[in-house]
Amino acid sequence: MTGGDIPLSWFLLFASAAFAIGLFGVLARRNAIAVLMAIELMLNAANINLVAFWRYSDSPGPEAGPIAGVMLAIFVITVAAAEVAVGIALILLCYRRWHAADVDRYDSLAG
Amino acid sequence: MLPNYGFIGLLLLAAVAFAVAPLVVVALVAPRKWSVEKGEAYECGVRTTGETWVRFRIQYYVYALLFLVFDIETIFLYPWAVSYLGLAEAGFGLFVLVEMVVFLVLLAVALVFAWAAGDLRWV
Amino acid sequence: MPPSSPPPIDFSQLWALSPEILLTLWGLVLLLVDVGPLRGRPGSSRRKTVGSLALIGPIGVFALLLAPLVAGPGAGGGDPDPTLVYGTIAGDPLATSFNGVIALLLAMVIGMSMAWDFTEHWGAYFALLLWAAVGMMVLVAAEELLILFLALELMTICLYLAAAFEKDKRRSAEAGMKYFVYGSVASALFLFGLSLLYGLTGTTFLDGIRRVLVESAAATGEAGGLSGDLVGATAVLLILVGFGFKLAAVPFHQWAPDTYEGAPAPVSAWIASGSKLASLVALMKVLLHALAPWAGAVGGEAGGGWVLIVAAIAAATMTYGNLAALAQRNLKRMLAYSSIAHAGYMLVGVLAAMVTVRSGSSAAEAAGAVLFYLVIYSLTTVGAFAAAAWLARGLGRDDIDDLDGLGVRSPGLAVCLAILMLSLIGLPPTAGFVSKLAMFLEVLNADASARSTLLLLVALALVNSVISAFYYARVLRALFLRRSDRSPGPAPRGVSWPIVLAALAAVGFGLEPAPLVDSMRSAASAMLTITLPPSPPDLPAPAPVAAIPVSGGMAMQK
Repeated sequence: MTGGDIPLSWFLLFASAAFAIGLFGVLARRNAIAVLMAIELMLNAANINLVAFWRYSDSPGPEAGPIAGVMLAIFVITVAAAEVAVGIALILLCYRRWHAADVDRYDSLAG
Repeated sequence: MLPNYGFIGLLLLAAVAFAVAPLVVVALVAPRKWSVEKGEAYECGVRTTGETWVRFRIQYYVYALLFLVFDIETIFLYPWAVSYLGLAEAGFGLFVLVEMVVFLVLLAVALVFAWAAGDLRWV
Repeated sequence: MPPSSPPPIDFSQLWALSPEILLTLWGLVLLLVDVGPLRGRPGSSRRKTVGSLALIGPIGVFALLLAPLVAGPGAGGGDPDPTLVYGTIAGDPLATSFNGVIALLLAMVIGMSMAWDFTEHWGAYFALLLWAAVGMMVLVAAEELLILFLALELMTICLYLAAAFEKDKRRSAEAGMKYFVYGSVASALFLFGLSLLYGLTGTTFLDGIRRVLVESAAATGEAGGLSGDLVGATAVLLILVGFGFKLAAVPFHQWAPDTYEGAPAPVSAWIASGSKLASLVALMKVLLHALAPWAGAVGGEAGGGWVLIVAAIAAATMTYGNLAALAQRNLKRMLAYSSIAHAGYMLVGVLAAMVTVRSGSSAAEAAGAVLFYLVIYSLTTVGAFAAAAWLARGLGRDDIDDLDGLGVRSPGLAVCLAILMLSLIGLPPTAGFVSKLAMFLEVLNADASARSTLLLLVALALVNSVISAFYYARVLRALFLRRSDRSPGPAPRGVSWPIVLAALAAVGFGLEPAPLVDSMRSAASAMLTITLPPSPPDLPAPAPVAAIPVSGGMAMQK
């Protein structure tokens, strides 16, 4: 037992809860910044999953290849940073056009 | 071994004393007069107006972005540095080094672009 | 733990990745040229200069792809390696041929972008188009889920920004914002599904996942499918949702009409063609190769799998897309719903391919037919969006009514546009007809147990094609039967050659489809048979971790 005494399922439950909170935030919040934060929460929930699965897995078999779960997590952090940068740029652009940060207000296109 | 640590301990004491002594001296000697100007958060240059709890100007955003680029860079530098010695022993040293230099140059181009586009100038 | 002997680093693999490397570096050059030497020049002059420079990118890719053919086999690193970079990226005929298709689409999109001044930041804009193309190329070639995810993100992040590039237009910023919110939620869902799949199988390689699933199915004695496997079902569902967003399949399509209408026409074209093309190829790789053991039965007795879900999505997508398109007045919005409908048709093709893959017969034919349809659809759609760019340049708007009278003013281009519309409907002698026919005929090759469900879907698709004729015909009516005082003026060169080229492709491949069909078939067979490199690469292994019994009812397969 090198993974410590905490069972894997705890991590998975935590990650699922964080993911669900993030999903709820995306669907329920109107403020664009809050939506962005909720998306980050979802990405990081997946990160917890990846690292936990990697830590608790058997020694990798022949089909596993050279890429470990932690490596995935590192790349996901990068992607999350890129998404935040792009997201904030778009929010600023929309804020300048509408003077509002509510996603509901951006409604010039509909139908 | 012990004398070395003793020296460090002495230095620590001296440093603390050096920092505390002026405070003590000031507390004993300095005159105390209260005035409105002294209570302000900002005491030289232009007079502060409004609250201090204001929003930051949007120009900070570009700086935050550039910070983010090099902040994330360390995520890759760190595991690279950890595994570098092992890879160098295995005969990959130059290859891995060149890889990282390519990565850093790509990031540097981002900085050069922001610079050339005038995003580093304060508006 | 350093390995005892270094694995050979094969620099010839860089040659196989040269299109991606070229476009990446060329994007950086464009970025710096725009803020460096061209600094201070007016926007329209920079648009022409940077746009012409950007065209060198796709042309260079063509040169790189053709170089081995001209130099003969043996040049440029010998036989193309099926897998590169430890098996994470494929260098197979699929990747090579789709690199060519993506480069062609990119050239057409760049041409359209040079039609009018919709932004000031031309260097950044063209660099984003090029980098989105890099994402598409890697996405098409990805054989591993991390690479696939990164490529997907590279492609869509570039497109989020490009969609918001039209200055002075509220709707462009809104298009970018909506695309971003929906797209990044989809990425997060996809990633969570990916993490579950990694946990279940212990690998992220598509072929590795397939092997683990086949082994575990053999161990439990079940025929496949997902019944009872809650975690597996969640993973598949999340991955399907992620791809559904990228393909704009109902019910994950809400972003598409708004984004296509609001974004500048070239960017809409790039999203509708390149992004959809690459996402669908990646979807086929994941579903037909990695997750094939979880497909489940179609018309058979039991064993729910992803096939039934995809069938429902396909039916809903084509029906909704076509019905909603009937009510549209904006050309780009109409094309958005049309692209939703076409995603539905293609999903039917994917199902047919899955059924034939399982029965073992003519698997490559069915998958190849989908790829053929995909290429034809992408070319014709880009041509149709070029008309929107033309209108936006001349009139500043892009309603279908704005096409009025063009049949008299520019008869040549109007005929080309008419050909594109006929191809999108699927009427002979255009390539749209041939590709639709080829794809739906493959259903008849499917094994008998599944045929009834598939035939139902094909019947629905045919009814939908008839419905679609009505809204495409409105474009024809505007072109040839209406008159108008307002005219967008003569088409600039950047608009006319994509339209003409797409029309030529639609007619040419309609009359003589064999070469493209054959190459797509060999691409598909390469896609379906790719495997991991025989021996795992000898790299420093991650820290060994002992097995931990999993509690909480989740049984890990490994």
